[in-house]
Amino acid sequence: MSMLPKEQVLPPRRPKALLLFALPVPLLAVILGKLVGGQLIGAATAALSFGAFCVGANLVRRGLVQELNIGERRHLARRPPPLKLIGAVVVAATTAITAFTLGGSGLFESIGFGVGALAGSVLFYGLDRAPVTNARKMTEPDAVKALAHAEDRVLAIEAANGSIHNAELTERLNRITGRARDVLDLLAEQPDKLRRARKFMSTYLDGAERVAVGYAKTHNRSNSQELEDNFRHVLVTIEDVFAEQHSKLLEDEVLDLDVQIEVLKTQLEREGVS
Amino acid sequence: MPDSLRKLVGGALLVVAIGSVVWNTVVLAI
Repeated sequence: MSMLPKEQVLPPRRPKALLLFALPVPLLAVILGKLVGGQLIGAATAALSFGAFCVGANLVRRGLVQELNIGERRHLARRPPPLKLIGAVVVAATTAITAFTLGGSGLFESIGFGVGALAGSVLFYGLDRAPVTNARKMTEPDAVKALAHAEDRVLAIEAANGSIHNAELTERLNRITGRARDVLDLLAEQPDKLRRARKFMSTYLDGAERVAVGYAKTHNRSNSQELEDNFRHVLVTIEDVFAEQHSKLLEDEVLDLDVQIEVLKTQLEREGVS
Repeated sequence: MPDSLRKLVGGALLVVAIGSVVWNTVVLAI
């Protein structure tokens, strides 16, 4: 059994939209100067401008985080709001209004600054990527939710897999999540099959997630060979059943996986990984 | 447009647009 070295896994870098937060910082000096000079309205206007810049920057930052979280998702219950674009518009409007009210610019010059900020933000941070989804084809909202929920389970397994430093087990989990995604894509294409795959979605995906997350947590604390073997046995079973589920859906067969589901449940309990 | 060029142009535009407005505001305030 080859174990990869337990290297420090760095968390993914969180996007911060630092440039948008940094550029308006000198406005703080303006606010302070105007306060000291007793120009309360001027100070309030500058404070409003600074606040609006921060709101816009924060929207762009949230858009970047949202994009990171969506990642490879293909089944979303709802289309997420275009936060980066909304943030860019807020920043652009704030730039134009600040130029006109505080910066001494004329109307057209101010609009020019606004357009420049909008174009700059869109070019620098990009437009919001719309997730590729087949969900729009579905008319039943429950089906869309079920797929989105199932995809959450797949993402959780992938996240747990990221902290398991065992090449063989990681590879097995990769195959399982790959197969699960195949099943979800198939169900998105043919939602009429969804009802027959409910058990797969609830029992198997949830079970696989529980086991993977549980193992990822436990194996970092103790390196028991027995735990690893039990985990491997369960993964082999899950892998087989996922493959079978996929082929049965493809073959349009009536699913008779209930027996195997019971077998898996019993195995999860027996192996002590559930 | 390649990604790096797009970011460079976008960053420059942001700095020029917001930077100019903020700079003008600071200069007028002092």
